Amino acid sequence: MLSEKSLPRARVILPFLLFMLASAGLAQPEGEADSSTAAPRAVVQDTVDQVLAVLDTPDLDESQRRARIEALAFSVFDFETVSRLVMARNWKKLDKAQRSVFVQEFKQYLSRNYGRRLERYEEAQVEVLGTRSEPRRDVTVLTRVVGGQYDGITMNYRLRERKSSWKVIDVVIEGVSMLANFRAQFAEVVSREGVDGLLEAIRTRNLVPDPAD
Amino acid sequence: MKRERSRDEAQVKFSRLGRRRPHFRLGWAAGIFLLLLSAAAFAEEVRPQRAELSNAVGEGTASDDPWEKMNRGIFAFNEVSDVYVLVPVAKAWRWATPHLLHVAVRNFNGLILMPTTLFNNVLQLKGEHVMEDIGRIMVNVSFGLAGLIDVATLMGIPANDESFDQTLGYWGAPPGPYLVLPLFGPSSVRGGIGRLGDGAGTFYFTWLPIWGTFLVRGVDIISWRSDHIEDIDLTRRESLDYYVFQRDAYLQLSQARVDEARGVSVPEPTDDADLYFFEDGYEEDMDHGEDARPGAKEEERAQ
Repeated sequence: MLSEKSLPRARVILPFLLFMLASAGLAQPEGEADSSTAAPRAVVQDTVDQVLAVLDTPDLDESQRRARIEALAFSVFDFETVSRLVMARNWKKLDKAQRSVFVQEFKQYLSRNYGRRLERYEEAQVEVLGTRSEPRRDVTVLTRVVGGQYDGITMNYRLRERKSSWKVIDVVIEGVSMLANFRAQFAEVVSREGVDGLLEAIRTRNLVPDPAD
Repeated sequence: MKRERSRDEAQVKFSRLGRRRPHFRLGWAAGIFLLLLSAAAFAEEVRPQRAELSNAVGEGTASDDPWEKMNRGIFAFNEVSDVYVLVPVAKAWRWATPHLLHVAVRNFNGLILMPTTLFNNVLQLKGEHVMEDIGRIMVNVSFGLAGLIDVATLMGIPANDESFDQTLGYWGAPPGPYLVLPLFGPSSVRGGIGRLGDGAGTFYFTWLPIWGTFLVRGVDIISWRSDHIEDIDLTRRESLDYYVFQRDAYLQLSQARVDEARGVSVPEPTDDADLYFFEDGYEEDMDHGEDARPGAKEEERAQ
């Protein structure tokens, strides 16, 4: 209701309010409809939905379930980028052949690791909370686990676009970056046993069968 | 999960802080304060060394771990204790305990720890959290049958979990070197002092007799461990160096918790050039036909 008396005031206030709204929208990093973050967000949402669907399928035995989750992990990570980032300066110590061996072994190692962990998220839902734009066009998708054993845990996925598809390059659980953690471990092994020792250690992990529990 | 563990295990030591002897407690407070000062001084000394080392990230090892040798020794001891004592007991607990009792123990223990969390929230000047903590305590003591049922969570009151380590970090105390505590596991100098503080707080604030607090804390450690048999086992098996896994996870988590206490609840975008971008002479080949010059990727992205 704008009476004649309040009208001039409204004229001043309305644009001001609109401006405030607009700038609030700009300042808000978790803009829902932001087109630059919609794609990575969708990637995470889709993957999460698919993983939960696999976990919810009752008539899969354990190995089928694992295989499907690993396949999802295979498609969602950018293993080449992760390999370089995880090796950091040690990347230079690998020759070309070793690099592709490393990427292959690491891919298997990571998928397996990720798969074994995810299968423990039964009875949980994952809520995609929003996104955050990172420097140089990376995007972090913020999620939280709801229900189950890990209720309330935050899991943030950092994604990078390469060859026009968005792939995960890091998973940050409760503030702990998986990438940084692997890097620390790998650097330790390299400093003690060299890159060959590292390759051997990852290969050994990949060959060990799961204990039946 | 690590966080819970550290809290869980933190408390066991301080029964003899007797409630009838305030002088004694004051003495403790003074002692802790002095320790804190010396730790801060020590950490200042260590810091330049750390900066130097972090330049060599990826080459070297522990920038935050000057006591690695001793730490690894204690770590080995802890591993043996865990595998041969705690895990068997935890398995027995899981086998013998009905789920409801298990949950009740966890809830009751959660209540015992609340006053300490409340106190830390006061020290961190978190008004809203303080109100939540008071509400949680009141609701669970009354409707929750003295803490056996977690009614507060059903009502949507968040379960805060603040530690004295976090409080010290909030006020700017540096963590100091990484430190593995016997039986209690990954910590730092500040973390160790934090445990003393939290432990003293828990024994001071609870209405239980000392042996009762011991019992509850002990049983809770066992029940917590029984919830995490498979995942810890998995991590132990899959990690290339479980000691480094623990250290790195602890240091990251502890930093994240201090950030959280400082109100960086939605963390700033991380231009962690060291972690996420490695453009110095490192982008060459590998990429199928992509321009390998440093910065080329950026240009491409920017177009």
